[in-house]
Amino acid sequence: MKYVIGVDVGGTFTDLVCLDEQGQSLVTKTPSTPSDPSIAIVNGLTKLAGLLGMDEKSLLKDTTRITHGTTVSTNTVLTWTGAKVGMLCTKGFRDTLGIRFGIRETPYDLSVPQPETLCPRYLRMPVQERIDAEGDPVITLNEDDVLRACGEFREQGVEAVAVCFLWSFRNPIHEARAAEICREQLPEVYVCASHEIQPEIREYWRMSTTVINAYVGPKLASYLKHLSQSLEAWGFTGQLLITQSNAGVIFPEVAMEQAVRTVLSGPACAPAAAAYVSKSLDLEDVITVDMGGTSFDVCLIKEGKPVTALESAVGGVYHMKLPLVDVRTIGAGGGSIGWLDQMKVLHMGPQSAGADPGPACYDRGGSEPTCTDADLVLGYLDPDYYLGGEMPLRPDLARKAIQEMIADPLCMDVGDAAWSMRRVIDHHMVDGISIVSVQRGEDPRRYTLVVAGGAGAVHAASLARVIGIRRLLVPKTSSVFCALGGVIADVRHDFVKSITSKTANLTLSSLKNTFGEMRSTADEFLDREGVSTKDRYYLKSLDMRYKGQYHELEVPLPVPESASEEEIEEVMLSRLVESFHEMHENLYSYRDDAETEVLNLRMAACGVVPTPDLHEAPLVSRDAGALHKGTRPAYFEEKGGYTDTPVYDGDQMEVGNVVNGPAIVELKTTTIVVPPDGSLEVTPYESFLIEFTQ
Amino acid sequence: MTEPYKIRLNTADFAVLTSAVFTIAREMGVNMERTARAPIYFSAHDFCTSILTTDAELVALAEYIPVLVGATPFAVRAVNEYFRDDINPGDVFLVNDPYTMDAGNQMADWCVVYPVFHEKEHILWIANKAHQQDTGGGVPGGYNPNAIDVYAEGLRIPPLRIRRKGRERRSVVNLLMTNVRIPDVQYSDLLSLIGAARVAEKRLDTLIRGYGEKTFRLFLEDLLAYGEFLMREEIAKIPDGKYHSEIHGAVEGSPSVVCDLTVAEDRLIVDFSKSGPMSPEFINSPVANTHSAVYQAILQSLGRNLQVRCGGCYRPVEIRTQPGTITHATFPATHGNCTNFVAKQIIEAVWTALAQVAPRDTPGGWGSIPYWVFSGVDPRRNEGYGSPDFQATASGAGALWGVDGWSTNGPVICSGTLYYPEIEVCEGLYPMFWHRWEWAEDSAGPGQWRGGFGVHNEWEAIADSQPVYVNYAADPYDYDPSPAIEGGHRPPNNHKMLCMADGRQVDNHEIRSSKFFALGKGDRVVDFVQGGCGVGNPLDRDETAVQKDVRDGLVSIQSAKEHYGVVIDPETLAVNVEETASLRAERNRVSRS
Repeated sequence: MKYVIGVDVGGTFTDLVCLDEQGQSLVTKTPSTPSDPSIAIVNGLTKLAGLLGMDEKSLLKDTTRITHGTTVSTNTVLTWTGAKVGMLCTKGFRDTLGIRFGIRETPYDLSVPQPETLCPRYLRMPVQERIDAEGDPVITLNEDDVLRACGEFREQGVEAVAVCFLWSFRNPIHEARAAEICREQLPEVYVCASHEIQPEIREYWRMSTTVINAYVGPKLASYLKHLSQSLEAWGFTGQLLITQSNAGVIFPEVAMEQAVRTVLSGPACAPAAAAYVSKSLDLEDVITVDMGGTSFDVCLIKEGKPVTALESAVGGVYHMKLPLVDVRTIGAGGGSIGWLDQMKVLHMGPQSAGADPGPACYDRGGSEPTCTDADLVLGYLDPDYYLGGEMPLRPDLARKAIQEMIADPLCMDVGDAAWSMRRVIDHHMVDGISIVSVQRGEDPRRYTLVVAGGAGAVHAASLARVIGIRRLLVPKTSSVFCALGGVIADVRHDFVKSITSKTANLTLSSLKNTFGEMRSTADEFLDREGVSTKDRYYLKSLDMRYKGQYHELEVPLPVPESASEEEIEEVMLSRLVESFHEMHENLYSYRDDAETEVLNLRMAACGVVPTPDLHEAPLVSRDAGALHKGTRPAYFEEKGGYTDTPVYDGDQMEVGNVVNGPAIVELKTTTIVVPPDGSLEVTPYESFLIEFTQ
Repeated sequence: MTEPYKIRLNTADFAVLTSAVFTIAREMGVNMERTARAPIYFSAHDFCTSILTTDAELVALAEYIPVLVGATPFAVRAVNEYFRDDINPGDVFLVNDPYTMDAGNQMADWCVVYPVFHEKEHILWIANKAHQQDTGGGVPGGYNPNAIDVYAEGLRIPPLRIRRKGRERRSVVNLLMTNVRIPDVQYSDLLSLIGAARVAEKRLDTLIRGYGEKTFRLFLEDLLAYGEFLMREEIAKIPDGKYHSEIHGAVEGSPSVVCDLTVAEDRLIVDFSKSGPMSPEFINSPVANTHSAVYQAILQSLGRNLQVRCGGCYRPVEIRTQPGTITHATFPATHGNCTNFVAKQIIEAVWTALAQVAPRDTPGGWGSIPYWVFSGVDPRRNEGYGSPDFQATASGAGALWGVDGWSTNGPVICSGTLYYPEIEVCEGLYPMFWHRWEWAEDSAGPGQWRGGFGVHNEWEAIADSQPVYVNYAADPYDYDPSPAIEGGHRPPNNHKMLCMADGRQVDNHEIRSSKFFALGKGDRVVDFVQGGCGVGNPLDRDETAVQKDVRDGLVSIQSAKEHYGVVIDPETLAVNVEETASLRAERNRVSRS
């Protein structure tokens, strides 16, 4: 039997999922080891091998592929532990990085300090050179400036250099030469140039993306080298693949050069897993939600594909421009703290009790009432079976916190106060779902909610009700979704070419040529990775706007994925303009007569990675009566408050089991609340499907 | 202090509805930003979106350009009054004129006013305002420094119906578009304003249907009372008294901006009646603009930690003005640049008065912006263009006790909501070549917390056949940035210069008097844009913070010594601890005696 394994290294846990050729999945979790993450990976592999009844060496010998998602790059930025970065910039434009196009996130609160840059000003070295808007070199590159800067970098102990000149995406000659000099002069230093990382118009975005790349590159590179060696030492001869923010995978060598592409890879893979799991039930349009201790991630999947965005900001501050899965994060989680302001208006968050001290019911010294405390008081959580009983909860402390901080000041009953907390936090999450659906012109009521995260299934049914969603899916693998998302991901490389042209002036031949050139570059990468020609496909799109707009919409070129550039036809161009009008109208409620223009051509070059279909288990029984564990009062508004609610052991449930609401289904990793008008069924793919009956 | 208002809605409904209406206002903002075609609109974020009660009180707004926060109620009041009984679902109104029923703050800011109905009952207004690329008048771009009256500044639009029951009144819109210079862009931007309102209408309808009209109306009263209470609490924290401030210009004959601030328990009276007379320059402030600027000043100081910002927060603030002064312009005074000047001076006059009683809650003054508006035809595409020189608006922010001011964050009326377009965007759109745009050494006001830095901005006209026309739009009187609080310093003055291709130089003074230039190929603009004011005595600034600025090339060794009393070794850039200690001790002795 051959295996593929997905590994996701998170801050607290390292998750592993193993798929065999028949699509049977096996999952495990092990505590992360932040000082050397590869230790936890090896521990996890040992655990997996144990579950399969074999030793880890034989498992690795039979493993053809390991995909690896890592938060190394994200955390490097968030914790300020990246490389000492030096930068070469066009003389006269030393502060583009620091100016951040002038934006202040909190215009009314002037007490927030200006963010520090990832490359301090004294290491931003001006170089005499200039390319103009037409791509002509109008001031020649002063190589002495570059040499002088290299000397300074050496003296200052710089570990990575980013070369970022104006208009380099139009003509990279100066950047390429400057980078070459740096590589000669500083052979130990990590060097990257903006035209290599993101050759796209708008220097701030290109520069910021490149500097993030330099900032995280050295650390990621040494980590991946170390990991490859460890795996090799354990007998692994298959292919290691690294997940990216676009939910595709790349080879480790490419990840080292283009480290920025891994920066937001963590949350990107979960939607891909959701799409994979839903596909087995013929669900193509789903919204995935993942609620953990501090945050709530939400993403829309349309026609089986997670929606992508073109830009993001790491930590809300460090901007990057790269195609990525558009996961929105809302600061709402189990740890969100409830509080009353001076007018006794209830707020949930943004402060979170996190894991330490955590909610009041954790009994770790937290005294403020949190969302988890409310869920416990409302009867949804079992104090003796939280995380499968590994963590006993104290309902008395939860009640006390809610009583003192919320219920008493509002002259309310504790249960009603907990329910109010719950409604407010649910609203924040509903808001998040609206942002990815309603605000994109999508009607969420058509969608199925796919639920992940420890707290997700406790809240999902109430969220669905507010929005009008009628179907929820809680996959058993949802606790290791990121690892699963990696294992099923295709190889993917994104390319962009800035052209800035009226759509009317685009000729078929220039379009064919440009896409053709991009494809050759893409093929170099895919060749290097040994992706066979028949497994390749190419997604082509254009960033379009009405002439003069600042923001674009990415419009897919209506051409088959396998088609070559030669098959692009005139009619596709005219259909393109109509697609743009339609997208614009759908999003913004109107279409314009104005001319359209094209800013960028984009190509995602992909290589299919063989993935087994999910294993379909046979129906066992409709009756879940044997798994009835007991009854406890839980709060349902429709029932007028607390009502006796049956509790089931979800881990033991079998395919076909049906449970009618109100009910609570408990698993080690999560708790599913089935509302009074809901009905839950275990699917042949080991997921729980909840449908509203009314 | 008045009794706290009791919120009547249940606590969860109130929290959810509050969050929901602000989400809708923000979504309107995002839609407008993403669809607009005029650079000043999408880049400067020179627009605002708002939802108002039928009595024109602000319910929710999106945080775009702060100086417009308080202007939309004026537009709505005018429309309300003018059309009274003839307001129907699907109607769209437009208004810009500051002198008809005080409707507008500035004529280039066109305001779309849109009624929202529920079950045939008028329940809310939406008012979206955006600065237009052109508004007719004597020169392109809406900034006419040589205008002699309001007619020369642009097309005056009194409350006007542009759609009736969903149908565009084509002849009316045509009249408008015939009187602006880039009608296709402007028409698109009008669609963008209306489109955002229509999306919001849909969302509001769903919300009101979900909660019922009765609950929703109660909510509106609760929300406004909530905002009012929060603001009253903040005002009540500061001592009662009367505080006076005056902002003077360095140029002879400058009208002063004078503020008398009274703190009376939980109320504020902000009185600008003693301001100087109206000016022949185009900076006179119509009353809507003055009110809006005052609200910004208060929300950024006393109100900066409020949970919500809505019309209720304005209730405890009474604003008094005297018609005929620079802070209450009357027909037909020119006013085209008032949202920059004197809005900045109005904001800073309020802060200067407030700094006397709440110095730790009041920001220092921001750098002024020596900008102008350029326009012309780009021969590369044979197309017209026009835009403010945003790169010249990148002044520094004032410090706030405990925090350095942000660099390149100006102007204050935007407070960091302005996106400076990238150089690559500018060079692609305009026939210009930039030589320099980066932070300027020693441009910030020193202080224990220093101001943010301004920039050097240099560009050159590059077209052979077509000139670049520039209209001077900077502060005509060199008003002082203010306040510099608790021993903080002001930044050095702005400077603007033209270096012509033939070697001739045009200095600041001549630029200010001529105001209008046509630049040919090779003519170069050279700006020094000042930073913000410092807060606190620079001799108390942390030595390592000074050393860091020196290492970064932002503070010179000389300035470190002169202003901060910190001695830096020019070779190693290390702090000479002993010399610094004795220099600072000596300076402190001198200043005390």
